[in-house]
Amino acid sequence: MTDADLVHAASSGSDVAFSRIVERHQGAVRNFLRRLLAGGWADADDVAQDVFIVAWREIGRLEDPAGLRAWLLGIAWRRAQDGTRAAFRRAVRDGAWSQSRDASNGGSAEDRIALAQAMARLPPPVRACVALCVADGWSHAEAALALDLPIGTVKSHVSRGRARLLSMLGGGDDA
Amino acid sequence: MTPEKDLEALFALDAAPRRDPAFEAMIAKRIARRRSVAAVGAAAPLAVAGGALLWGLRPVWSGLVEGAVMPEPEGAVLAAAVLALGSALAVVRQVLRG
Repeated sequence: MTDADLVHAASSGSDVAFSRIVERHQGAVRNFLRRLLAGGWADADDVAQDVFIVAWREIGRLEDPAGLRAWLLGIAWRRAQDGTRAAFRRAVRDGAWSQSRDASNGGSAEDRIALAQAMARLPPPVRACVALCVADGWSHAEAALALDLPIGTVKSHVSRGRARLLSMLGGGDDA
Repeated sequence: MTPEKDLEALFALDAAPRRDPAFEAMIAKRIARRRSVAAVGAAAPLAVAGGALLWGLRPVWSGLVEGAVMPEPEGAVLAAAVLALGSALAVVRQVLRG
């Protein structure tokens, strides 16, 4: 079943279809929010839940059902913007990032903290572009659609954000 | 490993699982709660209207119920208002929690 099929079914009131949408896209939405909120996994997952509740309520208004993923990420982006800075401060203060990470996944805690802190220093639009295009491999066009930004701006944000991250993490020049 | 690959590997550590039944169940639960609240919300005006209709038709049906204890109009209106207010508060609480 395609996303468009699921959207049509969910618009008609099918909770099964909407469950499939959640199953299919929860990873993308949560990944994006975890990176955007730079370390606060619990906050990110709370926002992700809200995103799907909004999507359930508004799915009948989705004009392009094939663009479901970008639409969901757009909702996530708008909902996260207000709370981004506060959520990061709370996550660092509470040490939530360290409790919610699984050490068996590899990577040192210091590297992860450094990445979360480096991400938090990026302006939110740059961070969002990096989260989608660098971390999750989205195309610039899809990120532009989700974030409602011109594609040239997305390219610029990705390039600048990647360079700043590499610089802050000690791996390259701050271009 | 290049710095770019290092960066990708670090980002991969933050990835959510591809399937997460607990997360999906939480969404389903919140949606089910909202559906039930919406159903109560939709039924409340009908219940109030039905109560008002019954009260308005009291002269018609009171004669059919011999010896029934009838509330005074003020009492009936007050009881209906309390019921409606209680239902509205319950709905609002559910919505805020959901």
